[in-house]
Amino acid sequence: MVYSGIGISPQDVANSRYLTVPYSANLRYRWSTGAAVGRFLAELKNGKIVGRKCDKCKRVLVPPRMFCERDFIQTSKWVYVQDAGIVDTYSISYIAADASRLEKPLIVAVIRLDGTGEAGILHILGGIEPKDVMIGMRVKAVWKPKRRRVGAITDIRYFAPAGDAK
Amino acid sequence: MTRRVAIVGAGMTLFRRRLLETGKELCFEASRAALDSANLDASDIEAVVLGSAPDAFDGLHMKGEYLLDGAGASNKPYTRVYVGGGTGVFTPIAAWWHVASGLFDVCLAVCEEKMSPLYPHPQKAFWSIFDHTLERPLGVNLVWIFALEMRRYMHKYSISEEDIAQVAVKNKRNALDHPCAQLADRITVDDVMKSEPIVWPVKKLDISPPSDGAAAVILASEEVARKITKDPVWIDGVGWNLDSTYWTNRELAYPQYLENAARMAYRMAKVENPRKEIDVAEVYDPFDYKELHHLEGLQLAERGKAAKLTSSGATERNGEFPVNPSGGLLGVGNPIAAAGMMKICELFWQLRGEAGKRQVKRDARTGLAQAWGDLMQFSSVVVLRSR
Amino acid sequence: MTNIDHWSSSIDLDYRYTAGVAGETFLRKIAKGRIMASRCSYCRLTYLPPRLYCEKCLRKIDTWVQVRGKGELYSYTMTGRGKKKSLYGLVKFAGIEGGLVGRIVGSDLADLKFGMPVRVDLKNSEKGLLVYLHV
Repeated sequence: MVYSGIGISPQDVANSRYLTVPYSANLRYRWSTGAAVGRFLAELKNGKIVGRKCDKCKRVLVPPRMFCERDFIQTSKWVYVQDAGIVDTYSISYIAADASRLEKPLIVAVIRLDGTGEAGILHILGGIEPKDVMIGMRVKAVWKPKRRRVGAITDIRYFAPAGDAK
Repeated sequence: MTRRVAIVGAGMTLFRRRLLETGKELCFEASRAALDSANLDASDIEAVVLGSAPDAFDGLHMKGEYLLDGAGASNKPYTRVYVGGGTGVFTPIAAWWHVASGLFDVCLAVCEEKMSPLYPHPQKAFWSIFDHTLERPLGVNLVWIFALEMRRYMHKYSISEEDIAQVAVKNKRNALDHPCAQLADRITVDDVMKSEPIVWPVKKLDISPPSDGAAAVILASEEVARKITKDPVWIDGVGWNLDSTYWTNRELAYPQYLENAARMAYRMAKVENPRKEIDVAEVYDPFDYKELHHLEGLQLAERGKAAKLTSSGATERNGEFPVNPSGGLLGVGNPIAAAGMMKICELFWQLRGEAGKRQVKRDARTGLAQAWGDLMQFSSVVVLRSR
Repeated sequence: MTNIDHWSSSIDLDYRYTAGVAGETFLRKIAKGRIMASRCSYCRLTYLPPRLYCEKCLRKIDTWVQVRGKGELYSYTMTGRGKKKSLYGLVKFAGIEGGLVGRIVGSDLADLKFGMPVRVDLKNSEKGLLVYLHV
């Protein structure tokens, strides 16, 4: 068996041993949010978290969707859920989206919000040191000031230990 | 009723961080090697199925069509399939139904990935698989989801980072015997533990590398397969299954979609007790904990017990139940779609007794290959037999 | 309350493409003023731009031939208008599969005719291969 392939080493790249053509894709998008996420974002701007209820499986879906993907029926109504919940899982990111090192590591978590059943959301944890985070701990949203909220998932700055807040 | 289908040839390229070959040239090298191994000409191939992961890596947003001449598919019935990291084991499944259906007698299945065009690092392309409105603004990267799943798995079953690191040690060592390997090495659990944290609990040595490479197999109907070779490797079971992209809405410690895919394949292959009937497994291992997670989803280990199985030595190449004797993605490399296809190639060689230094000690007649992908939502499973 | 009806962002990715095995030879020869094609001696097909393998029989190609003389204008088009007007053409060479697409310089649309002889001028640049066509 012959295994073909001509490897290019980091030195080859540094020395431009082989010819390459550069290209930068800068693709700008304007995505429609749709009925469910459009309302979700507007509610975030108001400091509230809203989900959609499926009458069949009884889940409150967050992020909300107009149909339940499990039962494949329309969800029936809007339901406000708490801006607090428990940490289902977490990790500590030392890298940014492009794999470059972050100066300050970021704690990321899936947070199961009170009143949703099993629906967790992805967000950041703050106001706590990485070593003190535990699965199952209670956390609560820390919102941006109202005037700085724009209707984005980042209107919640992070989730912090709930302490006496709950 | 479907027809019985066999693999009759296999080939692959070296896996490297950067290869000079273009994507087309990589497809050609793997396809040519597969044809040569079966003593076939391009004209013997009736249809071609190609698998490749996101177009954003190659940086060519019509990759299936772009690559096809390198896969010998010009002016032939041709399909490109894509299910993220699961593509490599899904591509032979798609090729299987081309032949099993009776539409074609000989079908070439090729997988290619060229991740190096993204400069300086391919990681950023993964960012574009996340939800644009709700996830990307948080600064998400691909390793987050693995880290969150790994942490949840560790928590639920009380598994330590050291338990998991054994997999990286085993697979990188197995890869020392693979002529195409990119990251073969003799390392210790301690080396893994001391390697740089990427997204804790994931550390540098817990992860497979980005790679360029291609791999291919040739499938044939029973009658034709027996004319091509005296040792066809039969595809006796196929399964695949997807959950939604709402990955934060489900339990991450156990991959239910994988269990569904595995049960589909076992039913078809008439496997009743997978742990007893599967002799060798090539399980998807882009991260070390995934091998354990997947062994459990595949019903090849009890829930939470795959780490113990690993500590016992059973999954070593010379163990009673070898897992990833190739060296896996952790050792051989991870050109996404091609990495899954490399597992199919490995089983083809293992079940024919042609794996050389990598040949498992036990008598292996039934093998299983599995891959996984997208937003922790997909798995593909194939059961192969040498008779 | 009014829904937030859209979300805007971008995908920014930087690439460096390798020329590949056949492409590397092609581009290196261009720097020396030669246009090279690759030839499958089995199928007797010659490819431009050159390829590592024959698309028909999927055998590896190791025969290189120099493309000499002028090509012929196979088709052409015009983009833009007024001062931004540009002419582009596809040039083919007798007995060679494929061809080269490039910018037609020093001519007007009215000068162009199907099949007319074209001199090809190739340059490697920082941004990739530049193809100029002179009729």
